[in-house]
Amino acid sequence: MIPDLDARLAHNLDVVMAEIDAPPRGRFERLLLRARVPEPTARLVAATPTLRLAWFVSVAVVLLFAASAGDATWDDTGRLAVLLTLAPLVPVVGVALAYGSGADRAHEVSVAAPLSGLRLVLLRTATVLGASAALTLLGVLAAPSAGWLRLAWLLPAAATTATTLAVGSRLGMRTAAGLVGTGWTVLVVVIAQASGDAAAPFRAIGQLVSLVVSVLAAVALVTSRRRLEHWDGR
Amino acid sequence: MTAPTVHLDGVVVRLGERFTLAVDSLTVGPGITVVQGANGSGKSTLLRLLATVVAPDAGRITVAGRTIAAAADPADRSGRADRPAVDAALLATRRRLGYLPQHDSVPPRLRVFDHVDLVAVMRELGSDARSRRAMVHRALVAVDLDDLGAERCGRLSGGQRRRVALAAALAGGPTLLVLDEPDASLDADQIGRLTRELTERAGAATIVVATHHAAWSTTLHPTQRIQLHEGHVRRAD
Repeated sequence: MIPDLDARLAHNLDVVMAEIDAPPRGRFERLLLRARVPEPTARLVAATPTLRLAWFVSVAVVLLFAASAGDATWDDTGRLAVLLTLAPLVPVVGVALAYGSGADRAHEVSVAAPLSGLRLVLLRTATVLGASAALTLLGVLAAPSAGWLRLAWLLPAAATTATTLAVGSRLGMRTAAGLVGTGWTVLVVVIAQASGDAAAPFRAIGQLVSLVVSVLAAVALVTSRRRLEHWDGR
Repeated sequence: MTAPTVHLDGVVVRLGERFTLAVDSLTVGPGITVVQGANGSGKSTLLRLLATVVAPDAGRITVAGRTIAAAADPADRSGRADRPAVDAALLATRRRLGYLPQHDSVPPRLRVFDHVDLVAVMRELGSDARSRRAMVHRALVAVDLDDLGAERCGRLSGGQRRRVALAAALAGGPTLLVLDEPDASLDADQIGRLTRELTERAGAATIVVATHHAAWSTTLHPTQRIQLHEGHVRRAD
């Protein structure tokens, strides 16, 4: 039928013109596609401008930590404690910068779209976490004398990030990041002063508590996902 | 997909202490509906309601006969049982929705094509990347920006950025189109193009347009006009 043929021709022309007019995909997006990340997901991650700022902040802060704690050992607990206290705040800052009406001009458009808000926030969080974790690992490898102790921030970081997301689904990500960041810092200082050991919050019990908090916060996030997926923080 | 009818029943939205939008009963049907009113009268709040961005504090909203929002009533336990159906209806509504917010929603660092494509991904347009990108191209042609696809949005004028946001709303031919001041920052030629685009789509879509320009709204040949005053519908005809 001729109308059908016309429509198909018009569609094919649009497909060709789109490939001509569209700018080439960026290096990072091509890398994601080569790693078999689904195309829409690669686009969501690579073409989200707010992530660039989050990445930049994460990179800058983590590199700063890695450099300043270059000689940290268990004997130098003061410097190590500073690294371990600040490192879990990096993904918290990243989440605050990557999601929400204050961070993303297109946030309202994304709320009105069928894409799951939980999926979007988790994608962005995973990207921020991945970037900061990879860089911290590089820092560890660059200074092997500091050993595995620098990894002691990973579980606390999972706890602070998951708590930020869970609280953020109710109060907004920036408010949540402020509350969690302040709460985390106060908690670490209080425990360290009470025990007389600056690294006390990061030893075995602290790691266990971080794990429990991560799981509880993840459950809270999943149960409150409706707030992320449905209306703008109401 | 046919143009849906949207019905608001006893809807109240409270924005802090200072502003309340209250709509006793309002039906928005296929064709173009123009929303007018002074600054602060509640136009944008009404459009954000219709675009499923703001939830009502009270009342019910239905789209194509299905409830997409019903403010929780503690005494009504049946409301909880309906939640999956409401969620499904909300998702279905968003799949047919194109939304242009009042504020500048275009990130300056993204390229024009990439921004419209990113919104298209969020709107789950197209069965695959090629057909989605074809829809993006078609939307950019509709707003006369197809030759600026590789340009960064931050390098565009205010009117061009408005057209980028408009393209993101128009892509894929949504049957529910909510446009908050789409004519803002556009020159006369582009307003003419927008008028043609909207009137062409009016036969197959429910289009809600908020504008301050009464003269332009007349050229849209609206099927309905809604006049808002201090958070209340003063006239709907």
